[in-house]
Amino acid sequence: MGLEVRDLYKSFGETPALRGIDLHVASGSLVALLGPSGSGKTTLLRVIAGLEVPDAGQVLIAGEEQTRRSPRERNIGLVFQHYALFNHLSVFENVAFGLRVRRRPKAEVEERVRELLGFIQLEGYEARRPGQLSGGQRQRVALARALAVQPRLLLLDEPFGALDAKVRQELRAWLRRLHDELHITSLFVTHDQDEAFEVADRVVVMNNGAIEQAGAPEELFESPTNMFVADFVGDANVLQGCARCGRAVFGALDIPYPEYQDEQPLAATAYLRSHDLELRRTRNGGGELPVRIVQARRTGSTVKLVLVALPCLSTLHLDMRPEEWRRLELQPEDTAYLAVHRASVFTRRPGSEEAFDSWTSSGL
Amino acid sequence: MTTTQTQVERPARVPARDSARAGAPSLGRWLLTAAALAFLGLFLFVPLALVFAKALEKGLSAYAAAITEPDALSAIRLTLLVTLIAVPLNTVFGLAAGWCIAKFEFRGKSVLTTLIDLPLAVSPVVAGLVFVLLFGSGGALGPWLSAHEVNVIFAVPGIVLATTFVTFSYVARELIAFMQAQGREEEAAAVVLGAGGVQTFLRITLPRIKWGLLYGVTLANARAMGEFGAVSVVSGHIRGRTNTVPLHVEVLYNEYAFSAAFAVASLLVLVALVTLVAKKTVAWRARVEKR
Repeated sequence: MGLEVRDLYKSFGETPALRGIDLHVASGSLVALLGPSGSGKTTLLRVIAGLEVPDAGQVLIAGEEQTRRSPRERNIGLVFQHYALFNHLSVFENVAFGLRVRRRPKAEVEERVRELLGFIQLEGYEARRPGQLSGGQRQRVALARALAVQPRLLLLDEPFGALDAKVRQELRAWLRRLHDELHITSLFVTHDQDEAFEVADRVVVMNNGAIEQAGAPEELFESPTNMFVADFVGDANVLQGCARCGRAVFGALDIPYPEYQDEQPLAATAYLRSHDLELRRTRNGGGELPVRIVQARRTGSTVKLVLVALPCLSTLHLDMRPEEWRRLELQPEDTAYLAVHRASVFTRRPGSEEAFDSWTSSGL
Repeated sequence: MTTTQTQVERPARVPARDSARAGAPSLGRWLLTAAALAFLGLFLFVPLALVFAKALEKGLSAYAAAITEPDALSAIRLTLLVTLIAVPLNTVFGLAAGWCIAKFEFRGKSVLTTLIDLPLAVSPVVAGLVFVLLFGSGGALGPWLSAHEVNVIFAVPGIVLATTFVTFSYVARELIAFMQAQGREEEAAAVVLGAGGVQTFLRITLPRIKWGLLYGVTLANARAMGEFGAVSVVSGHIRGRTNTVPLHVEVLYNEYAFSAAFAVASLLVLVALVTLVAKKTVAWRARVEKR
């Protein structure tokens, strides 16, 4: 069952938390709400669940208006960041809670809970208290509890935020498998872009109470429509320069920018992703950016390079495979050349505050 | 002198982790502990022991006689009655106040929180006088009450009112702190799972706050049984009718019936000891359940 949010506004006192959110989650899809803390993603989730009342706008599930309904009438599963398990109840009773308050027959409750405990691989833990479980186990119980009532929609608020890196990784993969099995429409909040990109079909980037861009992971990555997304998604190198006469110039880097043909120079920002850059020992086409190597550090399966662009001295970060790095036979303090295969360029029109023109240039 | 000595000594004797926890240097620690214990002994233990010593100085039979004498029994009955009314009233109020202050945001919340503390800040004598001014024969509601032949002051209703007033804050204060520390997430989870207000309260909130509630009720109970000042103003000290246990103790003492006075007083001390044990148990149970 699909979820639709229309023109949603919510503020807490003077502070706006949501500023006109329009969102569509297709039936059976898994969508991530990605954004920095304070961007309003948790508030959006709570409004959808009915725990917060919006100032304006609508929430629809399967085309049905939900905005005036209480949370208990919406039949939504919600998984909280800090689990919010009932610590005074056993694992079994936690999972059974939604069925118990619906006064389902005992045999049905018993069967459904057993089935779910099997599903989350916690058979034999029925009698334990949540306090006796690990973080990962607790979050699985929270998920089973939410799924027990067969909700129309599953909402997850930073579901792995409180877990350590390894458990997080496992649960991510597990959540994706679970979604592929159940096909329940799911929306999950995260501030971790790896998590969003790895798990979700679609990613919605939020900032400052508004949606900046929504799309498939590669779409956000390859063609960000604004500076926030370019900056927030992926680790991008930022260069400041100017645009005029259909070119954008960032120090020694000169790339076509057909969006702006005037002679009057305009401030421009270029975002360069590590994987769109190639380090070379010698100039090969003439368009390369001369750089000085400052540092090369091996971390796990990559070599992390810190470079300084010459002559403007902007710092650039570049990840390389170790064998590639070895083949180049370069070392710190050497000068090399950086080929830029692709860049996202944004300019700010004079007199406009928010609007940016963007242009993504590839195959440079 | 001491500082130099302990600075040299500390790293050698106490492992780093322990010294951070213990904080004070060892000699100072001993001095402080000794001072605290001496103070406790002098001001708490010795007086309490003396109460029992004095109560039993004429033997067990005199002790039994003092507390089974009709006026004493009547005072005990009255105290129990007043407690049985005042404590449940304030339990219900405390639950309601704790619930709305900890779980909701509304206008005037800070005013309500302040008002809840008022009975603790007001001297009990003043509290008693307020009720005399309100319900006494010369008071605001006095003429109307006497026209309808309702006695509040110098009668049981007045004692109940005064006791309710002075024990007003105990349950509420305890629960507000407890509920605020717990937050609202679990209630939110229950509601999203389909639980209604009553179900959420009975299945989630009440089990989670039960130890805090029990602690608050225990404190309110001890205060209700032991209250002297406010009750003294409104009761009129009518022997066998409006004397509570603390008032009866005073009457006996003023009549130089010292061992009888201390015998009855020892009952109040027992209430205090039971309260302390209950408090300790509750704290311990709450810790065990948290694990």
